[in-house]
Amino acid sequence: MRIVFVAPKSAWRQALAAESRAAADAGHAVSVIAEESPEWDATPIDPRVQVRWTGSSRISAPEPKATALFLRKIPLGALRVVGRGPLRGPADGLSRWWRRTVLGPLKRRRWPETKRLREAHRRTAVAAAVAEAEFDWLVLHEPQAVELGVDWLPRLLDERPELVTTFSFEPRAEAARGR
Amino acid sequence: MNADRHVAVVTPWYPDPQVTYAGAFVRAQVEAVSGGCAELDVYHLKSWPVGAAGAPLDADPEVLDLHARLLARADAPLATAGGAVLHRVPTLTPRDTAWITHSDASSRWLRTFLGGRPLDAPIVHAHVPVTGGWAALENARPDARVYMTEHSSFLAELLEQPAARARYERILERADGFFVVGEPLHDLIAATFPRFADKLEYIANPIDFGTARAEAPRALRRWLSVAALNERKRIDYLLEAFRRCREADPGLRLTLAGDGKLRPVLESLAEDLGVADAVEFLGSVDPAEVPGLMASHDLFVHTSRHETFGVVVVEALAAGTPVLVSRCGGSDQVLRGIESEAGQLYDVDDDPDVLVAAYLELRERHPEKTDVDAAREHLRAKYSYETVAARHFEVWDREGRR
Repeated sequence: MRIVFVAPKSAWRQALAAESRAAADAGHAVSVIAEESPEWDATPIDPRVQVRWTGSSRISAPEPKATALFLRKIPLGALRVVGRGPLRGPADGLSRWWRRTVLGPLKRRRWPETKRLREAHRRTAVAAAVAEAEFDWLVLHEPQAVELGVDWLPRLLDERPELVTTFSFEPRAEAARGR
Repeated sequence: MNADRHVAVVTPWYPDPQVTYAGAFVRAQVEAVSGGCAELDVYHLKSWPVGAAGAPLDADPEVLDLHARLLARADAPLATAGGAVLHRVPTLTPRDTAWITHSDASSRWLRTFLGGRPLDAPIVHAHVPVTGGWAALENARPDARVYMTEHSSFLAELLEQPAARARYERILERADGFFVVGEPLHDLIAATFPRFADKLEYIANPIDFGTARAEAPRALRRWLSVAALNERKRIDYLLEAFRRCREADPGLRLTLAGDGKLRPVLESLAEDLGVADAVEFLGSVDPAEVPGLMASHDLFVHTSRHETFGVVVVEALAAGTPVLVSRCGGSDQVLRGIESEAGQLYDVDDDPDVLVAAYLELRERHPEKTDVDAAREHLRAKYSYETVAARHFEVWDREGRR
């Protein structure tokens, strides 16, 4: 079968990697809709699995121009210049301190807006990826797959009642009984 | 095989591909009892948090409607331990810390999953009463007997919430049998609800006694900890005590199996203490690998501040490995009467020298004045799969005989 794992936030990377690999092992054509993260290095996705990244983690709320100029570019640029000489150690330390105590809180203050932008992007990206994909089995792999699914999944279920939907891909019971 | 036993297990904790050790003791129970059941179905009510923090579950009815529709069409019975059948039931929960809402959500989504019909089994055994237990009571058929086991390390915090406490009292009242895995939980529940103290019984988590080393280790140099890397497990305390012991014996090694939010902090601490080259962080370990890990080390060290039961302590002795264990509640109970044979207990104290002194004392006594084999046999009689299965069958069958 053609299986698509929907994992917009990729909250459960280890499970996503293991289950998509198991699906490929079982002979299915597998793709995942996932979010980029450096932590994928620890749980790589099987090369047989096609990955459609949402691109959400690259999105951040824009920094005000004045902040970018006066609190980031000028002070950090100056410290870089100073750090080219014998004061490299102190300059590097001051640069880290500046990022932590001045820029860090400003970035945290923009976090709610960043979250909102990423959420909106995820919603659009997942809907687009599902629209482009060909599949007959959907794995709604995490809570946000259901939350974002309200935009497109009810209509899909109406149109394709034969579509298989599950929450995971795991070994089935040999003799599945009705419940 | 007993053709009369048709059992449903309802649990919020069960191993899955993301967290392979979560609820491993529930899977062990399933494996232990499955041979004595004609049918055994496990309903795993894993929490799926949705919505904004603090928002009620019904803040977005469209999400709830969609999830109900998906649950109705998503039943894919899965294979699990001992030939039992596993049903994953993702349980949408609000992002809050109110246990009453999680209790309600567990019951609601199990009912939805079952299509409004009751659980088919005449015997239902639930884990974690406030969520799994309530879901079982609310979805069992009228003539079913509902038992439950409390394991939760968070029970004291839960009982501080008035609504959750009231719910817990109703659960105690309605359950046909109520079990705890250790004395700390027994004492807490009995003190909070004295009128139900007589209803509380003990039931153990089953432990695999199938992997044992040929003989007990002689030198206690390869230490092992199997614990989540969180504050309650006190791995920072362990690292400092290990450093002090290693000053006298540079040949000591420490393996830390387990993961958690504190891992980067603890890795830095190991560097700062100058023991990083002697400490190995393994990360999460599959439960199936634990017996072999235990058998390949000389000493199991447990530094936890509080435990409801001592699963890992019993696992270490089941593998034939002596233990150095804090008096943290559950562990005291499992080692009662075999303390000196099993290894050494020490008091929970912030001073790492308490652990150092306990280690030196054990090293002085071991192996001449310890008897790990005797401790192992003592525990096997109480915690083996066969013993624990027999206990479950005795409980499940006694009401049926009445």
